[in-house]
Amino acid sequence: MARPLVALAIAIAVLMTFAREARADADAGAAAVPESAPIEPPRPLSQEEPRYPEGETTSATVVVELVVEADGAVSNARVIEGAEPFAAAALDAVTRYRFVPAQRAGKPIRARIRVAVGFTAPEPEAPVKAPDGGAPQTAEARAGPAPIIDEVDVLGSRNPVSSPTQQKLGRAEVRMIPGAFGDPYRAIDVLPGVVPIVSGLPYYFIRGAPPSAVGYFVEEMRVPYLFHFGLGPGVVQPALIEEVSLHPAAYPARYGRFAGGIITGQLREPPTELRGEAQIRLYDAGAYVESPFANGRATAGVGGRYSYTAALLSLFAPNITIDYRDYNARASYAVNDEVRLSAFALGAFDFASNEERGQEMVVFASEFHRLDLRLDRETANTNSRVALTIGIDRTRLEDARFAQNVLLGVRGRHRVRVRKDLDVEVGADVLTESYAGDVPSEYAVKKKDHEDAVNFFSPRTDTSSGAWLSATYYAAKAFELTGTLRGDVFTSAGKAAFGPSPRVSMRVPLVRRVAFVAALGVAPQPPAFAIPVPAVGYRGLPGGLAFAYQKSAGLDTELPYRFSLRTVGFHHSYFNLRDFTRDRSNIDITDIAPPSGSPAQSYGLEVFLNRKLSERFGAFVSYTLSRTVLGSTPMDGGRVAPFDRTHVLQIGGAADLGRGWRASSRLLFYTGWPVEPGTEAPSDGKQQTQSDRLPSFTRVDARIEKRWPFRKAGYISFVIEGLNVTGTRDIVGRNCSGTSCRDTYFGPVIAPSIGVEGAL
Amino acid sequence: MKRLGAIVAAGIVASGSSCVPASEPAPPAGAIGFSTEPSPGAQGMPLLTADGWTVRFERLAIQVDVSATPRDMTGQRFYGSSETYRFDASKRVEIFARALPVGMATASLSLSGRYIGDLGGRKDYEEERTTILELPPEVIARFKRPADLSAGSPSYPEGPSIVLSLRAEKGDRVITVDVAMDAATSPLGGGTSREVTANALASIPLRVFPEAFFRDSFADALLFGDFAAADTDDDGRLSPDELYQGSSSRFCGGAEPCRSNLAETLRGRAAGLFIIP
Repeated sequence: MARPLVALAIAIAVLMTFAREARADADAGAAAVPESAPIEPPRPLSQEEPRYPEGETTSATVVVELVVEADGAVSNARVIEGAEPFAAAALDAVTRYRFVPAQRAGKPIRARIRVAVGFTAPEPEAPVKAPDGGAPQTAEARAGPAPIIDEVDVLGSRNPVSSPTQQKLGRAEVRMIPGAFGDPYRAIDVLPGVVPIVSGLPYYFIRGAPPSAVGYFVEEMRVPYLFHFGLGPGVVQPALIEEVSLHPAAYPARYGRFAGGIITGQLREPPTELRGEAQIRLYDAGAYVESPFANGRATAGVGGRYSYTAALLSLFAPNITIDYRDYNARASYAVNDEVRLSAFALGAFDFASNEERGQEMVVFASEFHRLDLRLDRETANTNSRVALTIGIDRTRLEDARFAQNVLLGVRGRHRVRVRKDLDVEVGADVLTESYAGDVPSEYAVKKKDHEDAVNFFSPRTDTSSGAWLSATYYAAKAFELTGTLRGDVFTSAGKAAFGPSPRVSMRVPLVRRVAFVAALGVAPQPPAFAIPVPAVGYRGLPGGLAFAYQKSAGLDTELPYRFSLRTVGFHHSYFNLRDFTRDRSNIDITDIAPPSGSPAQSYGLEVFLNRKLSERFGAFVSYTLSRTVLGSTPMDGGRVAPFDRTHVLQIGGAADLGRGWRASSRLLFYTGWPVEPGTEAPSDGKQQTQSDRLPSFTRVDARIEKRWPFRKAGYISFVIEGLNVTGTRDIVGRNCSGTSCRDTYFGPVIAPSIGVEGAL
Repeated sequence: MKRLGAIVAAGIVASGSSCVPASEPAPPAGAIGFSTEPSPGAQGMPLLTADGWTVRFERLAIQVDVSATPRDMTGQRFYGSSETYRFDASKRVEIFARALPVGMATASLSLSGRYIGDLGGRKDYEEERTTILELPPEVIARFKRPADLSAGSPSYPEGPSIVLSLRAEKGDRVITVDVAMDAATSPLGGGTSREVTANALASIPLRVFPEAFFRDSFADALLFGDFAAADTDDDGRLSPDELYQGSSSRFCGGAEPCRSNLAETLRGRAAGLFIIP
């Protein structure tokens, strides 16, 4: 019986036709590089041969357009030319291709390419045995010639923002990080420099700076929180996010007002065809769907997440209600080839209550809504955006305290290539926030409660205004030097403060495959509440601005087998920065005037060895060696920060096991906190010193997925994922009495998840 | 366009999320306390004593605890309240205890110094909780040092409850007194009751009467002579030591040894510092 042979026959013609100005690619996280820098097109790593359609007898060629992401994964595949049933078979095959991404100046970039997939008619005389003994018309899998790329279109030039010392994760990688549950913002904890407070909580110290000093942005729009209840599922649908970046120092000019770091999520490009993703888990369900219309000039998308924890909990604990939901929506319209109007909306709602004596008592309730209206214009040498942000936040705290913040922001930026080797960006933004809240009568509540209410809830209007000028000089291939001057003015309740923020960053190739990266910057920040709570903030800039002096330098090295190694040393000084606490056992988050003292110092070494998890076999080692020392105050000498961890080590790996199975796992280890000063050791009665530590912590996360692809780029997958499958507990304190000590624990925080995901 | 319509409809449904509920009315509560009325002496007006001295209070700062308890505590959310104030006695101020359920409540006052010893690196929460009214920084700082006239022990150092400065003149003689004393007393005894109403202060007039420091109850008159006599080094300034050494002729007559000194006399007479008119 004759068996058809299928071969990939592709005409090689890299056209290098750029639909847009071939500029730096922010989506790929690459720094802006000269237009003249040569593009290295994507190269296929693995290609799955298409199945020859049953019953067919002819040869055919199908042209497919697809996007090779910066991590080498394939997305947005669509048939340009070719008839069914060959078209479907070709699409099915190319979505499982893997590529070395396109590169410019050595940096990976997204690229849209066209490939031709050839089907050769069966040749009866070719006696090739099918691997599974399947249908005689089924082609045997065998290596064919490399797919021919006949067009490369560099994507993402609209938003050239990056910094040489940033770390980023693409959406394909994020999916494979166990314990992140597909949430890009939660996945950043695999990066070096990110030190968790305790396992499982998405609050991080970044280079010694507390969580309140870290800013979270969805593109350029700041959001009050990213996770329901501050620690639960994310409020942004993963389907919307292309990649997430951590800027630990000398951030891109358009970001500021945070001393500890910036975490940004980059939205995906509007789609060219209907696409969507959905997840159904034990405790919630989410989906996002987006489609073009008006002949592709416009797109609209909507999605959200709905929790059914309230219904589930009512079965076991009828007195307790925990509820959350969110929505995301986006619409865009291409006015012409240069101008695009878009709107992005985001909102979330959290609610927790318990019932006492027949009355529902609200423990916590919070919501926020944002609408960002944008006008983008992109020409051959310019890239501009004007945007308007409208938002409202509301929070209900215990004791019937209600707070609201209505915000209005305007921002604009213009980036222009003034010379072949020089980009300049200017920009400004203004944000007004009108706070209001329940301030009880001073006679009806305790003095401290009244003072806190005045500090956090009394009506006021705060403003934050910033302007910047930034220039990036591309001296040579892969050599960039960025200088930024930025300043912010803050006003609140009659007080005003100015925060200058000069920054310099660079990437300098040293030898082949090795580059020197460095960042130096000053980052001001107004007083921030220890835990981000919508509509709750300090009144009147108490204590003045905090400043971080950020210094870091290291090496980027490309290693064999597509491994990369980044090694960065850093030293950050924090002046007047409110730490979470100086004393773990005595936390007062309402303390508006922490004692002034000498600056806190954080220094260390970050190492990130990585082969992208989106590869068929990926792996990473993330290691942070650091020390954070709080400055001395009139009441207290300098000391190691209470949440300091000397070593944070993560080792992870992912593998495509074939037949739609993917598995990944990671191990997390970190050093215990310093023992609180004054804690006595039981054995000899001596006081323990700051060098004594609580026991270390180790946990394992795991994820396994079975994926069934269906037409075009769609799939349905069954996912089992677990954070802390080892059930390890954090030791957060030690009480000694007599001859024995007893450790106190947090957790274990175990987050199992069984769900079904799907995409169009 | 059907697809667009479906997406818009889904968006409307998705964005129709619930709102954060507004606050429920809190249980009605209010405060009870005192509205001070400084006497002429407290306001710095010169006082003419029966023995011919003209005394002028140049500074009088007082630290008190105001305590209140509801008369009927059955089923109440709050069972009482206490707050500490440090204020300039020459000014009219309101000192009160709050967060009391509506209904009858009793307010009382006590003069009390604050522990100022080693806190082991901890924050001074007592100091943080003290409400300071109308006092300059140097006077505030004086409350954080040990009292000159005190019954406390060195192992438990206490700050003052009264900071007093005065100037007395008689003819060519001028005597100044500048002392901080730890007078621990409850001048109003068991307290005074008033009706507490929601979100309001049930105010009790309170006369601040520093003339009491020199009011001799036996003579029923203001006298300063014993204090002037205590200035044994004749430098015109009564030091704490001189006050401890000085004695009241009223109590040291005959062959009996003195059982009181002027320091104790001042501390004891602080009980008359407040009067409810």
